[in-house]
Amino acid sequence: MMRNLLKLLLCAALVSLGFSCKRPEPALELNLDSADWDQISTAARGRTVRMMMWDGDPLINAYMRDYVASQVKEQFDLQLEIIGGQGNVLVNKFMLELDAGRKVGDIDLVWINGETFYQLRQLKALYGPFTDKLPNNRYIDWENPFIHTDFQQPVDGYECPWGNVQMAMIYDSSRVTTPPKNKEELLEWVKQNPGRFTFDNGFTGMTFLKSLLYEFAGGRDSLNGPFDEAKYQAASEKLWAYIQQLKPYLWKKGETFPEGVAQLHQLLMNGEVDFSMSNNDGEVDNKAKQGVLPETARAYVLESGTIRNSHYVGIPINAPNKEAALVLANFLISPEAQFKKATPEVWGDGTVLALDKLEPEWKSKFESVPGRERVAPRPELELKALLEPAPEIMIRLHEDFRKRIIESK
Amino acid sequence: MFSNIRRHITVGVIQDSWKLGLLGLIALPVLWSLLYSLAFSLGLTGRLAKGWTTEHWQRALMDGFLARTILHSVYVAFAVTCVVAGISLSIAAFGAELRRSRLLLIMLLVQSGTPAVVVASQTMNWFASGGMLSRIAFQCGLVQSPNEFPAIVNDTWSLGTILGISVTLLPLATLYFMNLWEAIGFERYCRLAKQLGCSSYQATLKVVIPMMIQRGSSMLVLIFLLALGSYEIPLLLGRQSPQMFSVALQQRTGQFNLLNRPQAFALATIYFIACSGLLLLYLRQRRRVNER
Amino acid sequence: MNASTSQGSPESWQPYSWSMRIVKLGLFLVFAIFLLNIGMLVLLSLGSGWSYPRFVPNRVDGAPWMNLFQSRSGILRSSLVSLGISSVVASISTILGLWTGVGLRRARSKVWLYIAYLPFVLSPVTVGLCLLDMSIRLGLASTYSGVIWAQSIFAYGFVTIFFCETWDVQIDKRVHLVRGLGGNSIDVWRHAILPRAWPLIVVAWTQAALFSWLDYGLVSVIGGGVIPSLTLSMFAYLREASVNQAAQSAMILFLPSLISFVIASFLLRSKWGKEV
Repeated sequence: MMRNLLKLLLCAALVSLGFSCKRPEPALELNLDSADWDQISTAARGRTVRMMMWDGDPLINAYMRDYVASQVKEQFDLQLEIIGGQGNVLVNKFMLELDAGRKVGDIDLVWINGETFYQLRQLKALYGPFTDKLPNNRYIDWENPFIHTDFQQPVDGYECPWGNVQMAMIYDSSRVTTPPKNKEELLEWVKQNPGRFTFDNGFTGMTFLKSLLYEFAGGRDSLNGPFDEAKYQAASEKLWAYIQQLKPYLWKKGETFPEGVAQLHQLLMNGEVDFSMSNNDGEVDNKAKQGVLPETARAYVLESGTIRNSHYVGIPINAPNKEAALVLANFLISPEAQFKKATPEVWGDGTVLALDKLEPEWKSKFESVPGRERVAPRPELELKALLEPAPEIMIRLHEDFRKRIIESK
Repeated sequence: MFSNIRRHITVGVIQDSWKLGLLGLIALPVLWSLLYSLAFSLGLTGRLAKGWTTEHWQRALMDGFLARTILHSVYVAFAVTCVVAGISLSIAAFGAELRRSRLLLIMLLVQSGTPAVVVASQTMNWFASGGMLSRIAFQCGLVQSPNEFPAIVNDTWSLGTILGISVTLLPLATLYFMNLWEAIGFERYCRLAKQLGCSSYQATLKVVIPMMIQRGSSMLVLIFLLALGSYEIPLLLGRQSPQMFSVALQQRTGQFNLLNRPQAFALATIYFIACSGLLLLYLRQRRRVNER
Repeated sequence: MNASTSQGSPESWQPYSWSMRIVKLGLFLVFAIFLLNIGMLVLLSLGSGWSYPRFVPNRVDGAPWMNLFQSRSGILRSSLVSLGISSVVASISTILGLWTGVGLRRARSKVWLYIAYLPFVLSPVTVGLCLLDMSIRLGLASTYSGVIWAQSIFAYGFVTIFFCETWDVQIDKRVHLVRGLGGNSIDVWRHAILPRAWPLIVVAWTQAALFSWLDYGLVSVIGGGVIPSLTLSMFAYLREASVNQAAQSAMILFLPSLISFVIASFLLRSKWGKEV
């Protein structure tokens, strides 16, 4: 038996030497600057395109793996592979790859938002401009400031808009009959209901703080434009004073915060708190259907407004199959793909297309997207939409929240 | 003569080939990691590096969180080591039947095959304010709401974190000490001690367990290091302040401001120097004890 | 649960009989908790939602499993990849670790033991990033070989320490005996070391395979997300999805381990039983 076991071990070790590299080969050389769309889509046929995206939501994963993958295979003969990764994972990866001189990477398309876009532009890690090469680019609502600008930076064709969401407060309507509409009412409510409110320490929580920061800075457009240190200091002092007033009445007396919004949703589900929040105003419907939020969950936005932003797709500078990436990006902004993900059962993500640029048939489909039951229609929420402020504000909020709130006694 | 020399050299090379393994597979990558970390933190490499600077080191060291984080991490790692050592030694030393129990073996092996993040989520499911124990307490009328349930996770003393990490590392230590018992044959020492007049209690507690601790100290050091470097469990079960070192480090590695990344590497270098220094002290101490 | 003794050997050491009863009771209690834990995972994975103060999910509809099978998420492929990689890592590190452990015991200088510990004093959070740089320059990034190499660094270090520190002194006696009888190095390994060290080899191999199977950090960074390991498929759900999906992911991750460990426990148990 020992002899057999040894033989097995030796074989396994030898097999390891036979593993070959599984690195994608770069596409045939095609000058993308001068190639037309027919040449690009022909060059992309039969290729495998790898997209790195956040994969923590089963509905989004199902949309990509089942619908998008099958459609791009059928229509363009593209094999789509989804790879999990986002935010700092993505940034660290490209930072190190480019630093080590890796000219041909693994990833063709990345799902990014403003923070990541800002960091990748700093690293010069994105290919572009490319959006004007996409035929479906003509439908994009480029006049919309929430689309052509990302974290106060012009997109400049280095990322392609994919969806549009607004931060919303979520509450359990069986326990809260009149949710607070502004920061004063929120403070009052939290004092009367100690331990029943909190926010997360992650992206959504910081977005909530940014929304409040606008209030303290003077209102709706007060933080637009480049970063202003004096304005930030003045507004943030008031913000931290406000949060310090809230802190003793927060969940666990504000001594700890949920690490992410998934934990916060679970607290709401357990009845430990009465509020949660989400960066996606449409999430309350699909999460309630999944059983992640209670059936009685409802969403709304504060009177002073909440942050609305778009999310995008970008092409890394060392993408091995840029043609395939362009074809996939073009499909993602097609009316059919945009409409499919707009329904709450699929995703509930807002479209980036200008409805008045679409054919009448698609226009009427978008105008009657079914299924939004627990939150007001999007046009109503847009009236209270705030632009993402400059990225430096996000940096400072992260650091100051830690110093002024978490580590303060 | 030359064939003898050649044979001696060949035998010598074969006998010392294990050193090549340690050098090539461990020393070289570790040295590279350390040098890369150092170079990044000093601004010598990296896409946004601007050349030599000690600014990141100064900011990393001056930041008030460092001392608190280190103290907290050592506290958690030490507590985990004590818990794990206590339970695993008890099982190995007190349980003759336990050592032969297939049931225990299966449980240990299954638990050792459970990822840390699963242990973290299971600990949450059981011990959080909205967890299973809280629900049992509610149904029994002991609490009226989840907020009344005592804080075991996300608490001040990191009880949930200590519990989670201990559960993760306990199988490793238990299997090790059970193997050690069989390999060393501690039963003989117990019988000898009893023949010399010790009670069963004295023999186990004063003869066997100290011997096992001494012999198994390297495993305890490993447990300490693994607990110190734990990330998933303190992230989900701990608080934001004080944090464990690995969580604090990860936050700096993932910070929005890319220009702060070198601080994370400075902290990683400090971590390496501190841990490897402790390790070196321990190995030296052990060698002195063995020589005595 | 029986204390087995082979014929003619002295009875096993037992401190005092009442402690045995306590210990047995404790063991059954722990086993009951262990089963309850698995039961809770199974129950949560079969439903949607888990609102307070229910013991069972709000709806027991099998939704997570139905979504899994419908979404064709490649779980089987990921499992096979993870199994393959962990087998290779375990084999390489066990063979090398055994060789190195034996050598370390003979070595006078403890510098070599210190080197074996070094992977564990690296910060786990940044080690992936630092190794990524090296792997890119070596052409190993985003390859199976790269992932195996990175994981083997840690597995090899662990196995080396394990063999060095849990060495059975009876093996050394057998080695002297075989050499005294004129055996060469191959005879020493074949007749003295391997037959006696086989339970240690099984434990070491299992632990190394486990480390690789459960690894997320190295495979995601060095593998670039391209190597489709099971942990990559499941970890996002564990951290960010609903409690039901997290329970399902947990089961997918540790159920294969459960089966293989039941088998391994029989193998180990039969070896220990013979040695009493």
